[in-house]
Amino acid sequence: MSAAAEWVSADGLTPWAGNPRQNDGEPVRKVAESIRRFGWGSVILAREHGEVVAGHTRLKAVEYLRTLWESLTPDERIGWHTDAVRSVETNEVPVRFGAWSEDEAHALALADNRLNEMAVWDAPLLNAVLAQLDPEDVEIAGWTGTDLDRIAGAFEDTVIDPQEEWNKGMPEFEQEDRMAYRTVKVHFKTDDDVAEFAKIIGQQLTEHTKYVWHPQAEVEPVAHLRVASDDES
Amino acid sequence: MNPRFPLYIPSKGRADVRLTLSALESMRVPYHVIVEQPERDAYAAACDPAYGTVLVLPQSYQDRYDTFDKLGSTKSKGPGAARNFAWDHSVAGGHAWHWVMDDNIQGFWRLNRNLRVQVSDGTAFRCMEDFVLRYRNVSMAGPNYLMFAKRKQKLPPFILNTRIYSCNLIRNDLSYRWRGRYNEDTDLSLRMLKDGWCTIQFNAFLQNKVRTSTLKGGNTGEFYDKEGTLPKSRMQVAMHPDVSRLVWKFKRWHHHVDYRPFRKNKLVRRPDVEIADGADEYGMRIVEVE
Repeated sequence: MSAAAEWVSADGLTPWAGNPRQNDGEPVRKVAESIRRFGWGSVILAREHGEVVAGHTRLKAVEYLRTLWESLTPDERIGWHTDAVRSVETNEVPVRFGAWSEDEAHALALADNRLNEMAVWDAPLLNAVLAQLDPEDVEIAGWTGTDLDRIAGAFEDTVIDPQEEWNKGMPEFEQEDRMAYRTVKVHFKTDDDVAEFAKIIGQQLTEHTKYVWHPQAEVEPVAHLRVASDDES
Repeated sequence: MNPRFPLYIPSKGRADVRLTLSALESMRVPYHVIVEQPERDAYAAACDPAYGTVLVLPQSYQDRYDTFDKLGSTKSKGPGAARNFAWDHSVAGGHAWHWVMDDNIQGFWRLNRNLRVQVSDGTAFRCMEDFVLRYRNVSMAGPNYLMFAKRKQKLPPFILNTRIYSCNLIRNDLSYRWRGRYNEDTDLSLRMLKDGWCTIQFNAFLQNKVRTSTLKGGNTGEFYDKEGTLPKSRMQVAMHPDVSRLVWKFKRWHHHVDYRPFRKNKLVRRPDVEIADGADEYGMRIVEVE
């Protein structure tokens, strides 16, 4: 495999017809914007006869950039990265060719996408980096407002106490610990023993009794109650 | 007070049972029930048109649903396809969030001062919606099960970063979608949590869900009844091996999920939301009924 990439005409490249990765639409626009701003960060990988192994989205991005370029005035083209300008003006793209077999090429194509999905972000470090960037570059780097919401917890003031948070503007929630102080299993040998125990504690024990409280707990009936609202909106 | 976001109930084979539908109608809360084409008329006849709208699940959602196994359509795919349709339907309607609920919920309760009292209108939904809208990084929320929130137990008003099940309030602008033949709630919760989102399980508001195996119909009963819990638990471990393990307990297979790694996901308030001091009852009060 050639170690260095070379600039070749995109016309000599053929996309892998069986590529299972769907990349039309937003991914192409995002990659195109990245090439326009930063140039070719990653080159296209292709087999020796020109079949693309990795970089299908980048290849489509060049088409997108060319269309965009042709729609712009000279003033609007200022600021494009020289790599992007070269690609749209000459249709050349940087390619690294390799002598991969068909199976190797397909496995590499899958790995190129899949292995990146397995890595995870260190949210605090990521936030530290994003905080230093121009908002436009944050977007070009592929981070949307939704992404920033998701990772916000790593660097902003966070809610610590659920009860304290709920007490502000939510319906009252006061829940005391009224669980048993202590629970003891009592075993009986005979029905007479059950009856005697019931007499001692002054409570009725039926076949269905699974537990009792001592002193006897007053059960507050709630079946006849409902939480209703005054507001009909 | 009604919820601001739409409610969806995927349902199958329960037009005559109508648990969640009946509960919502008695609360005067509008809803959409999502059914398969052959059952459309039965559900249309069963719904009160003042509150219920019947939506037919497009076959395409079933066809392209990711069951997370290779069994295709040889057995029920569960409610995930209909839940995905609900999500897209809500997005198409321009909503920021949506509710999706199981069809075997008998009602909703409020827990406060060691009393669990059934609610008679949709104000509880509005409270939960307002609460999640305070934060930048909540992806999903919902009420805990009534049976899991003991009346005498000291509980916080909500638990962060755990599984949200059976009654889910979901943020629409996320790219996740339901998947899997089993454990869809756990899977979606975990995928969100692993990406750093927060989930909120409310104890202040509760749902009373009938046990799946005690009710006819439904999307999942047919395979839980026949094959036991092992395939379900195996799929959970396959989906999330890093936080799940298979355990044999109470004479059947279970899966244990460790949510502790997600304690680091902290709620972050939106800077533009003003939060008042003190409680706001939203006009709720306890009344006696006959």
